[in-house]
Amino acid sequence: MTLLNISNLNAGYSRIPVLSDINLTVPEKSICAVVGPNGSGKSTLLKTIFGLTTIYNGTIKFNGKDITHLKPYEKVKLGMAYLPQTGNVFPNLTIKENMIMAGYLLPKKEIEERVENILKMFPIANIPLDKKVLTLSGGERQMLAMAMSLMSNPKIMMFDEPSANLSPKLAHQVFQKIKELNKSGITIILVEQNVKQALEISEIVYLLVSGRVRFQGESKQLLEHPELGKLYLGISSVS
Amino acid sequence: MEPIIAASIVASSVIGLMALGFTLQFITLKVPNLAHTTICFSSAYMPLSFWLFGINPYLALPLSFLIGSLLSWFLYKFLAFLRTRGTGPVGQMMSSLAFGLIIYGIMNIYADYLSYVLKAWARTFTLANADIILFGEPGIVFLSPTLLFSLTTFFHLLLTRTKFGIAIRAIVQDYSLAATLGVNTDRALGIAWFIVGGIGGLAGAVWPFWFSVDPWTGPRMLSDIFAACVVGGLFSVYGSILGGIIVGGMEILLLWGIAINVGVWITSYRPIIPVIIAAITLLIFPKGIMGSIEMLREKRRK
Ligand SMILES: Nc1ncnc2c1ncn2[C@@H]1O[C@H](COP(=O)(O)OP(=O)(O)OP(=O)(O)O)[C@@H](O)[C@H]1O
Ligand SMILES: [Mg+2]
Repeated sequence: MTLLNISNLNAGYSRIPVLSDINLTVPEKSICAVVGPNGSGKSTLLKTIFGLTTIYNGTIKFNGKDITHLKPYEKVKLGMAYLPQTGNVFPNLTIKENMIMAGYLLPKKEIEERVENILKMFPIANIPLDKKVLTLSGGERQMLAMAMSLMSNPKIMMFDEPSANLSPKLAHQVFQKIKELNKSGITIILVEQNVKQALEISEIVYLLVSGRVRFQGESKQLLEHPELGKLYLGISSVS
Repeated sequence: MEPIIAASIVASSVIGLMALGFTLQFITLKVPNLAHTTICFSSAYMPLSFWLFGINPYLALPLSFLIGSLLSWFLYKFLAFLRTRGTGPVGQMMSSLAFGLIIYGIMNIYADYLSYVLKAWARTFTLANADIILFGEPGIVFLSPTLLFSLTTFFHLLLTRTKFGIAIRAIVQDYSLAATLGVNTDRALGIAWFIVGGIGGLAGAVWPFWFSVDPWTGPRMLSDIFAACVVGGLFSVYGSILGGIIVGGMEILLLWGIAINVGVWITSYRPIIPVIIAAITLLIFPKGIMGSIEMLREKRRK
């Protein structure tokens, strides 16, 4: 079943168009990778799905419902979560306050419960909750950001380069975590520079080039594609 | 109590409370709200009306809160609307000025209406004679610092202990992240403006119990609020309250000190005093008091 469906989407930043004629379908419970060179519009695509850019035309449907012009908080209510590429935590708030913000729409009692349960799943569980986030390391912040995006109990999670600036070991952990989340039933859209790892854990992939979909299909196909991989992704073809 | 001391207590408290609202509005929309003091002092006409109609003017304070909060909320909605239409910070600031001038006009009309109906001069007024006496002192001497203390405490608890308060701090840090996490940012900021507008309305309403008020008091006091925020450090709500206390008190004391030494004519230069206080503070603390404390803390951390 299709969870997210985008058709004929054109979007950008007020008068600067970035995305043209995007058609994209994400099946329920899948991992969908979005890859492409720098500046190709990957982040813009996620922001657009979440309602943070200007949509000129086209429609976005979630669970069959038209969400094209909903406000971000309304999308959170429907079960969408988005983890931005940068600025995905509040540095001047404490860990606890960050988690409370992430569960903003939940009842108070549920927030308390979830904060503990969710943090337990991440390797930052032993850091005091009242510590300010600006004292955490980059890796710890990324873990916190992932924990935060789980607070709202989402059906779909959109990650924008979750492994950026992390050591290979931490990056590996992040990918493992994403796989786990997916196993627990959450649909995932994953934007990544770490193309190889992204393609390994995903089922379907969209290759964006200059704001257009240049390739779509199974992740395996792209990994083995004779030209595209080399041309845009720095993958030397397997053989 | 020496009247000069009483006067500086009232001024400190009132300007502290108004600076709180101005700073919160500034850090949430990144626009200086030039109508803030006008909105605050417009509510001063409520206790006057009560008094003229023979009711205890203190009973008008809840209504004054409401006037301040509603006007402030409405202005927020208007500025937010302009923002979605693509109006930049300067355009929004000018709009707030225009909004203040409209309120100024309405205050004049209302004052004339009171004068006409009640044959009482209402353009410039004071309620000093209407005040109650507590322990041999005018009630306002106790009420204004009590308001400052309790409302500041209330505001602090609101910001630190409630989900709503955390959301406001989060929005100030990163508007779009807060929205992304599910905060209805527009509603949250609307409520925040409502609350600080109400606090400002209360502050404006107690001012006439000691000083005089006319429709132009608000715009004139803008320089005090600016000075308070500069002294305290532009981005800290607590700093601006402190700045307001300093500027409000110093202004009265300095003015009095200069007037008895130089001559009473100097009092017409009163609006310059807060500017001078701000300038001197900046020479000593280039980032305002709170900014400098923050810098010291940073240094110690390293
Ligand atoms: N806030 C913005 N305002 C205007 N243009 C923007 C803005 N953000 C991005 N752009 C432009 O949109 C285009 C796509 O940017 P985007 O961030 O979506 O790329 P990306 O594929 O995520 O790149 P990267 O791999 O470097 O993260 C770029 O040309 C960029 O200059
Ligand atoms: Mg990007």
